[in-house]
Parts: sequence; structure tokens; C-alpha cells
Amino acid sequence: MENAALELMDVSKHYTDFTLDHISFQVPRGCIVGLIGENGAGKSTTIHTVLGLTHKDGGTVSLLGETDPDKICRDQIGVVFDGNNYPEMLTPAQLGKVFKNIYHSWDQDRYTKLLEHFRLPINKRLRQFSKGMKMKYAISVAFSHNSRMLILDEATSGLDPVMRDEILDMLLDFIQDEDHSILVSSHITSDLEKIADYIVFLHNGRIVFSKPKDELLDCYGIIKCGGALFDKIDKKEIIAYRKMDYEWQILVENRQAVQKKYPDALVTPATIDEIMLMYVKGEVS
Amino acid sequence: MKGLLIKDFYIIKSVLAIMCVVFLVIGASLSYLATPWVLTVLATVMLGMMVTTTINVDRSSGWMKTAFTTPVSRKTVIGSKYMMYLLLSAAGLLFGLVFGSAATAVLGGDMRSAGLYICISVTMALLSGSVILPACFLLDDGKSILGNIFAYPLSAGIFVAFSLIMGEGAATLGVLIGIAVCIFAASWFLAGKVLAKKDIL
Repeated sequence: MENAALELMDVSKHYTDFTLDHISFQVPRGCIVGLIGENGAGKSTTIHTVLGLTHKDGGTVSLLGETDPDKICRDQIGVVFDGNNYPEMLTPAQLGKVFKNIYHSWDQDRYTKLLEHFRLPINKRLRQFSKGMKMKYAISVAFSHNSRMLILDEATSGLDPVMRDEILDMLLDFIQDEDHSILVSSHITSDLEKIADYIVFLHNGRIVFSKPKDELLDCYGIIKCGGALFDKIDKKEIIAYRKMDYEWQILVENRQAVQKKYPDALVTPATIDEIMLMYVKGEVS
Repeated sequence: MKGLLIKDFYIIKSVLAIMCVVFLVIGASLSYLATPWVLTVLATVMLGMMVTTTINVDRSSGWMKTAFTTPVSRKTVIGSKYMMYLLLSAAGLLFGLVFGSAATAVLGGDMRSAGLYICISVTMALLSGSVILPACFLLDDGKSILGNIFAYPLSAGIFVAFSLIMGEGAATLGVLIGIAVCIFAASWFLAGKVLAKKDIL
């Protein structure tokens, strides 16, 4: 896709006890792609491979139109990792001077305004910041050098709901420019339900699906039923199922069609969390 | 590279002041016990070694991940540490020279041995740095300390071996400095090559 800010084609990475197995997905320009998966699924490995922190064993990564990691314009890529990744004895003021001399597109005014907005003390060492404050700091840095692409690895973890909502608004504001794109990996799927355009689900190092979020939320459904109805349902319509203590839970791709076909069935819309659980803990057809 | 050097300076800034006081105390003691020029060697080597503090801070804080997502290349990150090592060693050498000159002027003494100690300082700094820096980058916390442990005896051993073989003299010192410069440059080059292929987790 020519207008993809990020494109992975058959990317593989092998470790002793884990393999990222031929991952392919895209982040179109002007879109937010949410990367979900359980712990150990390979989300961080994927992001590290995209950023060139780990060397892939196969496939290609195209980031902002460039496949050679040494030629990627990193001025235009804002990254937020989980946890603090700055020397803790430094203050935001000192780190501002450091980044001013690293990024060609560093915007000191925006940096200062963001620190004020997040109420982060500019002359306090990072080791005295709470986890949430450190995350806000990392987000401030990512937004302070005129990025075209943001890559966020669990960037909202540790933040209170009010601040998370504010960060999500900032991301939505960022994406108003159609040349901007975001790849966000998160366990907080409710955040992705609010802002993502596409959801990519990773499980055991493989892509399970890469679909528009609206399709997942508008079409997918979960049937809760007894054994009799489970036996009646056409198995071709079942994506995954779980036998619970007192009922069967069945994930279907088109809940409206299923409801019409089985009017007595209890079919509820599926959240992204529930879809994930069904794929991970259920039997996949 | 300037941003990386600024960061490292901020990291060691508070320790530098303490080191200056320590050097003054050691230097004063050595002036009476031996010669004040020994401080030249100590200051050069000890200040240079402070770069390992910055490498350990980078590793423990996860800064390497951040740095490699910025517009600086891996070679530049490595280069900044070697450059910082050279700058700190030069600062230590200068400190030792200033102190040694002042102590010699006050207490009376031999300025001619300054040349010998300068050569020893430069040689020891470059040879030991060639081992310490790549060990810090490429080995984990526990094993990298082996680099620190072996670097100085190894450097001293090379120095003594050459002195015994070639005799003590200006020519020997010149050859040693030349060898030390070449080994340091080779270490810088190879560390950049190896780190370019390393996965940053």
C-alpha cells in the first residue's frame, strides 16, 4: 500500500523460546492501528523490530516509505515505551537540552508547554516522579519534535482514567493531520475501542486478525446458549467457542445474521476484550 | 553527538566535584610520599573510568532503547562514549599536570619526570580504555566488571614488557603511545561494528 506509514511484510524473528512468525500488517497514513495480544504474544518484539532495536530474521519493514533502518528519518518518529527510559538523575530541563541537540526538529516551546500542561516540575529529577508522571514525560518528549508517526508501547498504562482520556484526545488531535499515523500497543482495549481505526491481534507470535475496529464492534457477537442450541448452530458460522460452567459462549462474525437465523439465541455485541478472550481461551474453529 | 555528551556530563557532574577534592587530597599525600606527578596517572585513569558510570546508567535506565529511536546512529552512540572517555582522560591529565606543576614549584622537584608520567598516563588511559569500553557495551553488568579488573594490569603489563624489551627511553615511550593510539582506534571501530548488530532488548 503506497500510502502506508508503516508496512510489515512477512517479518520474522526467532528466539530460543519464541518466534515472531511471518507478521504482515500496515498502518495507513492518517490512521490509528491498535496492536493487541496477551502478555508474551509478541507486541513489544514487533515494535522493537519495526524500530530497528532488534534485527529481524526475515521480511521487510517499511517505515515512512524507507526500508533501510539507517536511512529512516527518525526525527519524524515519536516513540513511547512502557516504563521510564531516561536517566533518572536528570531533570526535564536537562533532558530538554539533550534532546535539543539530538533532534533537528526539536520544538522547545512545545516541550515546555506540554510539561506545564501535564504539571511536571521542570527541575525535579525523574527518579522523584511517579510512574504516571514518567509516562506523561515520555509522551511530552514524543510530541515535541514534530513527529509524523507515533509508536506507543503500553503508553497509557499506569495513568489514571482522567489522564488517559486526555492522552487519547491528544492522539485524536494528532491524527487530524492526514499525514500523521499512530501504532499503539495496549492492554487497555477500551482505549483502543475509543480511538483505533484498525485492530491487529497477535497471539503466540502470529497475526490472528487485522480488521477495522468498527467491523469488530458492529458485526462480531457472542452467543450465550445451552448445549442444544450449540449443536444446532452451523459450525461454519463459529469463529471460536468456550464451554463455561452453565453455558456455551460462541464468537460469531456477523451477529445480525446469526440473530435472524436463530431468533431464540441470546446474541450480544462483543467487545475487543471478549474477542481476544475467545481466541485465546476458546477453541478456534 | 553533542546531545549525548551533554547527557553524560549531566550524569557525572555531581561526582566530578567530589573527584576533584579526592584528587587534591591524594595529590597532596603523594607529593610528600613520592612525586606529585603520580597524580597525573591517577587522575587520567580515574576520570576516564567515569565513562563506565554513564554506560551503566544508560543500561539500567533503558536509555539505549530511547537513544536508538532518535536520529543518532548506533555508531554515534558508541563514538560519544569513546569521545567522553578521551575528554575525561584529557581533563584528568590536565588536572594532574596543573597540580604537579604547582606542587613542584612549591615543594621543589624535578620537572623532567613530568614527561615520563604524561606518557604513562596517555598509554595507560588508551590501553585500558580499549578494553573497558567494549566490555561495558557488550557484556552484561556482572561480566563487564571483568573488563575493569583486567584492563589495568593488562595495560601495565604491556607497558612494562615494552620497557624491558626496548629499554627505558623516549623512543620506547613514543612507540607505546603509538601502539596505544592504534589499539584504542581499533577498539572504537570494532565496538561500533559489533554493537550495530546487537539486539537492544
